Amino acid sequence: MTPPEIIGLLKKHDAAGVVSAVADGAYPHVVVTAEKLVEVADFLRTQSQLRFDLLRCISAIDWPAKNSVEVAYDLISTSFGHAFAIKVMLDRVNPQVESVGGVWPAAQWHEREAFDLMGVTFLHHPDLRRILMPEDWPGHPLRKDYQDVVEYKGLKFNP
Amino acid sequence: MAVIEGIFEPGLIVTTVDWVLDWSRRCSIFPMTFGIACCAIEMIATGASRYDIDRFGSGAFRATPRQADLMIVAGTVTFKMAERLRRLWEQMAEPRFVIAMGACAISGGPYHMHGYHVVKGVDQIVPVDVYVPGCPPRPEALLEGLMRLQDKIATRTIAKQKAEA
Amino acid sequence: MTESTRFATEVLLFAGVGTALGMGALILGWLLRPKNPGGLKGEIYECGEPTIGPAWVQFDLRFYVVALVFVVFDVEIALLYPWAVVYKDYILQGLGSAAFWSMVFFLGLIFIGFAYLWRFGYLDWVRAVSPAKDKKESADGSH
Repeated sequence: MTPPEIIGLLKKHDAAGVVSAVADGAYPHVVVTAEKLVEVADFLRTQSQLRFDLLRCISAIDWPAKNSVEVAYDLISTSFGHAFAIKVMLDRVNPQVESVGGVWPAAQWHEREAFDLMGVTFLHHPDLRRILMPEDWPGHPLRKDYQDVVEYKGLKFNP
Repeated sequence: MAVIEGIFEPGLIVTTVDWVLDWSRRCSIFPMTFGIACCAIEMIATGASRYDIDRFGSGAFRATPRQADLMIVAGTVTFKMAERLRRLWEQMAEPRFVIAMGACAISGGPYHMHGYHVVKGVDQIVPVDVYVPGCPPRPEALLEGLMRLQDKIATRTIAKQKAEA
Repeated sequence: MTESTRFATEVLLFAGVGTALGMGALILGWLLRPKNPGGLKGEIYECGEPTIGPAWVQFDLRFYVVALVFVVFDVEIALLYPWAVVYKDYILQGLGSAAFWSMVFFLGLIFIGFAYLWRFGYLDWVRAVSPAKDKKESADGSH
């Protein structure tokens, strides 16, 4: 299926959830509201013509100018071969969104990474803790306004 | 330290015993497998047949720190790993040595400027005996580092050390 | 020197040299190695992580059952060896069938016990609540 067809199916299923859509270019995607995310994800996974059963990647992008954090979910269908993406825009001060771990179990570690490095809280995640930085690390390193620590447990950061 | 150390003045017997002890220690350095990142591949290549670290007596990589003499820190040390590295080094029995292999273990390597998760050099955590530069160092470079370590071990002595003034 | 004295000397010498070599290596090591106990060196090794709980825990009783069955059959085999050695002599004396059937009786007793264990599920690694429910709960992995 081509991206316009996928977007058409999605809008027919739930027009209210889709905020905007980009059909052409290198990265066809839809932007959905945070509340409708799990429902849209479930639809994309289970719908018989779409079958996006493989979540390739979850990326979190920090937009200080727009005062929001964007989370992008890259999907691909192993049955049909088409690829698509979903994006949600979240508030930058306290970004929260429902976890899609129930739809794609692969999401769990990707969401841990987004939490660790960008500070996005995923609700109803079974095990939301840091995955790269130590457990008691202050701050979220990939934010644009992150300041490097000077010292951590006696180890100087920049000798 | 040892029962036999620090008893005798430097002399003929001591130098002979020294020579035997140092020879046996430097020709059978058992490394501990501590390949963390890409340098581990070069360490594995050094252990394989072409560059053969076993001809230096160091072919027996011990997985446990209790039986290892040498910790080759091969790879990037993150803050999360630093705690474990220190604990494992503490659990090694003396005499123990450390080789910092690769740019990341020496000073943070390519992550020196912007690595938020990298410890800039493993010598902040454990005392290092030999630094082997490279990214990654070729197996011959690691073997050169091992030979330098062997030379360093050859200078050890059990004679009574002169008291520092 | 008589033969038995010589034999005794050889055995003692052998044992003595063996002990001396082993003890000598240990004593030499004790003299030469550094002694720096204490600190974090004595901590339990867990690949660098701090340990959680003690290592001496109650281990699974299924291992005990397996070990017990093994010991029984091992002893049985050990008792089969001398029987096998003298069996041919018994055949030559005409008592072959008596020797044979007595061993069959012995093995049969042990196998009856083994059959009991097997039939009533004591050898199952994943045990059902009772054997009658085996077929219904065959897909259930809990015990």
